[in-house]
Amino acid sequence: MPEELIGVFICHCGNNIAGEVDIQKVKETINSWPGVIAEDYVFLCSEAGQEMIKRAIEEKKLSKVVIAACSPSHHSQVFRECIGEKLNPFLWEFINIREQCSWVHKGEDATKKAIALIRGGVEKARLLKPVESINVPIHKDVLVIGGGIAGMQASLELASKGYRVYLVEREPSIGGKMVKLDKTFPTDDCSMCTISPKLSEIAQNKNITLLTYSEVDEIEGRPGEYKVRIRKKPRYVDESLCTGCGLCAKSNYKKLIVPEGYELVDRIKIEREKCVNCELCVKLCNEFGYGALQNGDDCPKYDTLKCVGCFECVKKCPKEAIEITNVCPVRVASEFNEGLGARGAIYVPFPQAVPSTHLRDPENCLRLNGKMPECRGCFSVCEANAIVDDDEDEIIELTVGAIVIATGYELRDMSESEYNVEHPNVITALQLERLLSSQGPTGGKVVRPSDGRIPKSITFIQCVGSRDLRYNPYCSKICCMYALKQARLIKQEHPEVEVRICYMDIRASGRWYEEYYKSTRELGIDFIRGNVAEVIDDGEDLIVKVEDTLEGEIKELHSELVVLSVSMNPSDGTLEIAKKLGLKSGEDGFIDPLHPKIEPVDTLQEGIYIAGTCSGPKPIQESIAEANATASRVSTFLKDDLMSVPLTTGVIDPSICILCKTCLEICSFDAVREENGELKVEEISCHSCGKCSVYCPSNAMTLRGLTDEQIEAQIRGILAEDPDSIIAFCCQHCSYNAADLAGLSKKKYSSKIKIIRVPCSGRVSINHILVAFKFGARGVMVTGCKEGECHYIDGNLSAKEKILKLKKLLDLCGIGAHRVEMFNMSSSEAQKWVECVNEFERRCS
Amino acid sequence: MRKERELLRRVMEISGQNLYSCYQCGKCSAGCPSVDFMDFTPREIIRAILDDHEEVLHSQTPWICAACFTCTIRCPNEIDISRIMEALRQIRLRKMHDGIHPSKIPVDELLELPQIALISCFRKMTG
Amino acid sequence: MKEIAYFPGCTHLHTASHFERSALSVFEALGWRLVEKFNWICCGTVHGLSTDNLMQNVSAVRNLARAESAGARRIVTNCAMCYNTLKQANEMVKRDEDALKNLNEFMDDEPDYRGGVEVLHSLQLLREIGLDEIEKRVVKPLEGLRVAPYYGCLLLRPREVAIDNPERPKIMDEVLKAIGAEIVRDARLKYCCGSYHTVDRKEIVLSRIDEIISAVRRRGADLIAVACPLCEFNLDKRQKFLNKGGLPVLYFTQLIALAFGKEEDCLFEKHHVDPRPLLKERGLLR
Ligand code: SF4
Ligand code: SF4
Ligand code: SF4
Ligand code: SF4
Repeated sequence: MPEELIGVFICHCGNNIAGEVDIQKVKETINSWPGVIAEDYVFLCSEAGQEMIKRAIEEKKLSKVVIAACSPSHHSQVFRECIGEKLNPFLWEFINIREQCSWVHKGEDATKKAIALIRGGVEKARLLKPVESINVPIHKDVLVIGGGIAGMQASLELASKGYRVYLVEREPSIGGKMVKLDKTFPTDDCSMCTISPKLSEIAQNKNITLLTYSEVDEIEGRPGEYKVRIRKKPRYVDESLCTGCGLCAKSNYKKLIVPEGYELVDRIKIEREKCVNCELCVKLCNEFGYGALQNGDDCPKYDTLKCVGCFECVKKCPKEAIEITNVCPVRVASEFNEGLGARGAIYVPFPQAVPSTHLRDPENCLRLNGKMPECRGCFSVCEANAIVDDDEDEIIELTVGAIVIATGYELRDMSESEYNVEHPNVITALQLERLLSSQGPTGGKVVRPSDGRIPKSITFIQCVGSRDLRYNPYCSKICCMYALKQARLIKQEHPEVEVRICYMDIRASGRWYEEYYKSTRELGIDFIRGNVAEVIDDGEDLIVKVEDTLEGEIKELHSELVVLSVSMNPSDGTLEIAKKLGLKSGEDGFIDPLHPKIEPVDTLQEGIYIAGTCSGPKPIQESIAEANATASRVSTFLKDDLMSVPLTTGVIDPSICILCKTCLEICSFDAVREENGELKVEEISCHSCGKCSVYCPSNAMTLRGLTDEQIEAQIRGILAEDPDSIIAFCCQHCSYNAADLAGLSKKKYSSKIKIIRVPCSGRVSINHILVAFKFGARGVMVTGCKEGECHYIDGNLSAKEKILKLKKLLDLCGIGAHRVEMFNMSSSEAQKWVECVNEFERRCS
Repeated sequence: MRKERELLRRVMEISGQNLYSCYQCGKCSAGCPSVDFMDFTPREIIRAILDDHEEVLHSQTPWICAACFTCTIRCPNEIDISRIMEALRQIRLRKMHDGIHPSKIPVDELLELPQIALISCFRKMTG
Repeated sequence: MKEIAYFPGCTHLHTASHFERSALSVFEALGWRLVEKFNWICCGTVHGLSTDNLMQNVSAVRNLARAESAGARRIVTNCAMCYNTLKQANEMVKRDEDALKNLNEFMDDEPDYRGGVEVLHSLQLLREIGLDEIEKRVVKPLEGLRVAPYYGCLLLRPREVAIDNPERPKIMDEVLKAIGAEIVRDARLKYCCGSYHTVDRKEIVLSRIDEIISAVRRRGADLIAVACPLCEFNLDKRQKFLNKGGLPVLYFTQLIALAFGKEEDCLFEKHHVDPRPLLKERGLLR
């Protein structure tokens, strides 16, 4: 066999790597290793860099390649395609000498560590084998999660391209936050007018299946074929019958703040002028046995606690003196109106809701929660007979090829802070939108919630919870603009009201934005440059304490209404779906795009795309643009009928398999099957986590994508250059990314830490760890996802179990149990990564 | 080239705070309960130090500051302003510029004052 | 009887003896004995805030070291200032190993401190004992008495030592509610009283207490409850110079002792603004 030649390519990454790592020295060292040659380039990922690699493979007849550059999360696709043109796309190894080397270590340390890491890569590369691929089908349907403006737009766009779209929304109606807005910047056009054609288009589009009031319970599978389980929550109103007429929701309730969030009100009103006190109604009601009406002096007396809402009195009153005021006696704070104003236990979030089907809220409905089982107010008035008591979760199972996540944002909870949000006259900007909206609880009148009066002075406070390390460090991007808009709408309507904006900087960058800012200023709004220290409750009024930093003067602004421009957080839905799908997200909880600049709507997982504010704060127009881009990326992914997947899966050597069936039991994906007295791994089901190969007692199971020999060779390689190292096995889903993030934020730690990337912490065997100790490692850390968050269900738990066993062994043989440890963290926990390695390093020295 | 910012360097060293991260937002000043008695607001003090104005060493502000930490718990950049005030006091005190002389306190006051008042005052105001 | 190591602090021996007496009485009624287990010295009163001068923390850490070697895992103190100083020093040495090493070397006459002591304020101990327990022992609920719980700085700031949410503290409110008092809330109840400026710049203290007292008066408070001898001095004794008619200021422990029927441990006569006429008028005192 001809001598193998491995090519190592070192990237300078401009000065990012070359600034700390002595490239020349690294190169010389590599060239002294047998069967290896090194080359370097300023930007390997560039066109020229890739050309250089391809040329070298050809000219030097390289059999394997090692790339020493940034993190595989950035450019592994690029290099795989580049090298794949000349070699089997698995005959190369990616070594990270930026995030985990030059960004966190200095000079000589960085150089030494880079050499050790590359040596590990080279030794592993010597054992790499080609991995073949198979073709699997791509399903054409698309799941869109989240029915806000981004999800709606993506659905419409995909539907118009001919795809079948399942749009899932957790709330009873689609429309998200945008339907709550009054007008939108920078055009001041009505939000509802822009969005409502889209609402009805979605309701009518044949290619869109709308699943509102539904949750995504489970997603399994692979790009091109996801099995999705959706749970549609019961509405206790038959969707096929309800016409959305709104009779059941009739109410005359006017309060802006429902006392304690819940109130029981009268269902009927007897008009004294019309009533002749014939007492027919009293008789009827008593005959039925309710006794809600009793004889009174000049008119019957009514007790809502006894009334069941049969409304017979209303129908039978000869003088038509009785009128229904509230069909449903229950009033709870309206979610749609952000807690201002009320809704019944039967309701529809807003008049144009899609679907218009009403729903009963089982927590508050007296009939469903058992407080008044015979209540039937809504039943009595519903002409369509749509109201039902027997209703339950409906499970819908789908298979889709791609998923769009558009789960959006929510406002940060600022309770118990210096802003006094507990005071009724301190409201959020979203609450103000509801007050501004002509469809809102006040019909468009901006009033103080405490007494319904138009305030004489309004103070807007910017950056509430944003640009603040105690809350969210980032800028929420849209608050400056919406505060300008709100201030200006109020000032235009009520020039006499004193309107002030307390701000740190006004961020109005975007087309037409600065002009908008300028014309808003000119309306006579007081801009005070200062970050508010505190909002003080001064009875009904409020005092806003701020330093006017341009004047150097402390001001106490007496304000009748305070509006907080509250920071945007990823919504619960965003956090949940990211966790469920194992998507990478930042410390802030927003989902990370594949690349923040050039792949803004792709995620780390092919087949899953993002749109809108689930990946960070942005205005409506950007969300819509993104949604269209997302639809386009989805259709690119779905264009072929088949896709090729590499067989990095487990494989059993039948000649050594002893048929113990351990793998069959241990595999979390039921990928191992028994066939004709032999065990086989079903490639399509296998997730390539490698847990089976760790457990296989006879070594019959091999993970093609990462064999034991390869891992051991990498360990030996590292320790040959730097014997005193600490080997850190990092799961590719969590800790590896946490370490990358630590690098990005330049958090320093010891260069003794050497990372080996594994698919899952469950891939690490006792033997791997012992090999590390045998070759001199000072300690071994195994790091995996948090418990309950393993991407392969329980790989981290099996790793934990193994480490516990191994600890005993290490104590016995004198190495010491403290030299091995399991750590759990999520991909965003950079600080935790640094703390863990520091702690462990201290322990091992 | 700018001059060497010696004062800034010393304040950063003694306080352990990175003054460069200050937004000049004034949240510290606005919440300070004693700001009415100060000749410069806490924010202005920070700006002056950043600009290496030696005059801040003669400002009343650090002596008025009672280390109530109101500013510290609110600074959006988690700057511990109380420590910056302390640094200014320390720079003066280490040059033997005591802020108070026990002999000036009337005897009947001395008898009445709680011990912690006297001790904390001397600890803050004398070198 | 349960026991806990107790740090009285200098002021308790002198001007705040009524704080100590009422506190010990309250805890005893609740089945807790506060025991001076180690040879304590002055806490130092202020936490050293400079990075380059550890000397300011010696007395606090010396106390912690002595507490630890006397076998105390937790120490409790009534004085908010002692609490703050001890707790800040404790947090600092737990965070900064080098500082602890240096301090231990410096205090070579003491056993090394290893960071094993927890510092508690008596309000935290009360919360631990439980509001139910407190409620059970009430014989004279303070019904109709409108109390403004004043927290000041030292129980709430900086954040690492706060015994409750520093912007919206509730811990004293809850304890006082448990003995039947009505609570008056106001943002100024967490403001600084002017602290040691009472020694050198009385005018600062007067402006501070004027703001605080006027604010709670507007809300109809009958009296202010405090947890710190310096706050008590400033809010009570310094009212002498305000000439605005007195608003009584009492330690929270005095109010609990009163509700527990232990008037003899309250020593109400020690205040500048005599609370007795008010308490008599409300039928809480004979
Ligand atoms: S049955 Fe429920 S929803 Fe209908 S009126 Fe009664 S309480 Fe309201
Ligand atoms: S345990 Fe993992 S690698 Fe093994 S067969 Fe199952 S899914 Fe594949
Ligand atoms: S609060 Fe912080 S950032 Fe703002 S001016 Fe003060 S020190 Fe600077
Ligand atoms: S610590 Fe000093 S500067 Fe800061 S708020 Fe208190 S008195 Fe003002």
